[in-house]
Amino acid sequence: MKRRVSLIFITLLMLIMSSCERPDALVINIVHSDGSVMRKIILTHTKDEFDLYDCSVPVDSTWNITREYDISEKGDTTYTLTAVKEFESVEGINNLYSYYEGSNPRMKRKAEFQKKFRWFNTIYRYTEHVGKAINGYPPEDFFNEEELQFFYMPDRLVEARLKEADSSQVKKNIIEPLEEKFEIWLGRSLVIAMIGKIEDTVSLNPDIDIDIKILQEKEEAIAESLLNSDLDEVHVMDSLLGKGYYESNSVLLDTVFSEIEKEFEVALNADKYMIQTVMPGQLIETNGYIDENGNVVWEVDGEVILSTDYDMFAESKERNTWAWIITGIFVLFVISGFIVKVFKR
Amino acid sequence: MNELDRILKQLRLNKPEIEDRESFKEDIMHKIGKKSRRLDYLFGWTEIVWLRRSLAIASAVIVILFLLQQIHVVSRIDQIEKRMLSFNTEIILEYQRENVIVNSVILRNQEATLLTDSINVSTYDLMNLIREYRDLQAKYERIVESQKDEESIPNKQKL
Repeated sequence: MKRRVSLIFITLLMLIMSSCERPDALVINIVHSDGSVMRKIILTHTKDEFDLYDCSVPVDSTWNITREYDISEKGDTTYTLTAVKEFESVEGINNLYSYYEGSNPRMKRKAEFQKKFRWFNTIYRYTEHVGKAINGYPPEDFFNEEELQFFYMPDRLVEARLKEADSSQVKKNIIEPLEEKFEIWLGRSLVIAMIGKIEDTVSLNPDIDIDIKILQEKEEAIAESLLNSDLDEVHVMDSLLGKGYYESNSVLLDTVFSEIEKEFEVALNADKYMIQTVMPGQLIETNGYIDENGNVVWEVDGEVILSTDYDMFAESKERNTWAWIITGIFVLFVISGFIVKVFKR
Repeated sequence: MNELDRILKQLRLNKPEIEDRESFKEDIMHKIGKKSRRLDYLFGWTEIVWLRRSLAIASAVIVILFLLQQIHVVSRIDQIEKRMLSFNTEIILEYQRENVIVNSVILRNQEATLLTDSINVSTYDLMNLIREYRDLQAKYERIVESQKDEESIPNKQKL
């Protein structure tokens, strides 16, 4: 079976898929110090029809649901469904993820909560984990720190950022190089994932006569050809690795391509959504974006989960006032002892 | 006249006789000594060398730990300041509402984006274009509305 792999087409499709006709979802997690989480899901749609079982995040009719609609200045009507549920622990959320069969069915998701006692403070850490789709290159290998900021930034924040005074500089110095590197990263990630799969198969079946080293050496060239030429993968492989290469290894290569395609679909078909988390106490660390009210925001879409596990974490601290008082009294007691001793002399 | 002066005055006037001078003296000395004994009991550890050193080390370790923890927390808070942006939940929801409308416009003509002879435009640019168009349309409608109002006001005045 011949498969046409056009990376530019895939890239375009990846962007177009984000505009599929499903409601936009905002997930709000209000994390409490005892590990319980109040989860609120806000779905916005142009129709007053919400299929909760086809949503980007797990939600069902047992949640506390309210509906409202909004008519904008421009006269457009949008409908909002808000679903709220209190979870005693993150296990409740993880249970939902394990039974979930909505629009992101193969996305591997997990929530974690940690509470660490550090005498003066108690540290809370909440993580929403999404597993990677393929074993490609992590974005950190291709993008610099500034580009990564925009790579992970939710679309609506990028748009807001591009309305600021220095937008042309940002576009020229960050966005455009990011878009150029994006295609290369995507192409090379797919190729390295494919080579990784071939390597695994060859190591299990030594009879297969494929030189992995040659494939690894040609990895960049294969990605380059797939990106910039109109050749399909059969001709790309043959032109770089010798005539008849694909044909002689067609069974293995077809299987690998089909596996990669299946894995890649998790990212390609990802129905994106936003997560907002409210932490107990004072926020001290996160890899998300912090809003005016101290809430942390991330966006989950196909790009960010393509080749690396995405751990959206927020860490906060709460001061243990009683520990401060006890410590203060103890230190004062010791100091007083020394003062008394000096005076006695 | 304070309490002490009043007591002294009374004593001078009455000139009381102390029957057992020695026991009275001992009683006074005992009461004065109680205070210093309490202090000795509370800070007696200062005379035990190993205990004194241990408590001093424990206090120093606690103070150092406290300082290190605070410095660590402050440096982490400084780091996250870079991630602070000017937005809030209401802005996100407003964008979400606008987004689903713009998406529905794109979807109405989705096939066109997949045709080989169509122009490739990034989703961002396309959505931006639609948003700008919708803004312009809203402004135009407002101008038309205000013109209508202006025209109707003089008519009313004439009437």
